[in-house]
Amino acid sequence: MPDSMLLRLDPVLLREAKKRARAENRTLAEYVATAVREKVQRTTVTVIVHPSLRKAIRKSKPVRTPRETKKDRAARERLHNLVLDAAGIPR
Amino acid sequence: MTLPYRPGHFVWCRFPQNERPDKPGPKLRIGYLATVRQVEQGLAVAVLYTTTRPFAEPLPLGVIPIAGRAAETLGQRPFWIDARCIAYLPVTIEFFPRLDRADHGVQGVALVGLQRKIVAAATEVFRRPELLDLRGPGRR
Repeated sequence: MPDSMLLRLDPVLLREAKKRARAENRTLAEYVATAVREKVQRTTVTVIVHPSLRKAIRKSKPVRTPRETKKDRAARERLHNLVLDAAGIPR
Repeated sequence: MTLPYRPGHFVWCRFPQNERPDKPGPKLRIGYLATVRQVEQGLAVAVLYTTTRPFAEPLPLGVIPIAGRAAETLGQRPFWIDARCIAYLPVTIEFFPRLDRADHGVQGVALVGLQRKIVAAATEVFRRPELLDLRGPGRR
């Protein structure tokens, strides 16, 4: 059973945290808990890049989803680059 | 040209094993397409691993439950997307055995809200490289 605590935050920081939680479809408590968890825990990740794609994937262009917003596209592109960075695929 | 796959699709695929990234895995399973890319040789996709093996609460960062109506819509029992495990694969019949079917092996499409949640969860995993322990053949 999780413990509860009183947390005082600068109003600007709190506002930003609420905004980000909303953007990620999470409650503020979930967002804050995730932030703390990631600070204290390492995560084991597995990234597999098929050998035929190792040279080509950075030069690739994204296929769009119908009705996708610019923000959605940017978020997907960011994730794509973060994953390839983690895998050591050179830019 | 009509593309068989788009981001947000749940697709039947042979997710590869770490030890043999160039070979399709032994088991046909549903993978979630986080992104679809045009490469010189055709299409490539970033597939997130899924599993029906339950996780203990609290869920690890990057693990997203698909249950209730979301799972029912896909005709599946509850499962989990594990955004900590990603494979970039060429779109070939080898890795996507149902590619040549009319539905290309697409089991369903995530709603926009869920797509955003998955991208956000995966980004949370990968945005702090100093907290990552990398497994997989790409490790230098």
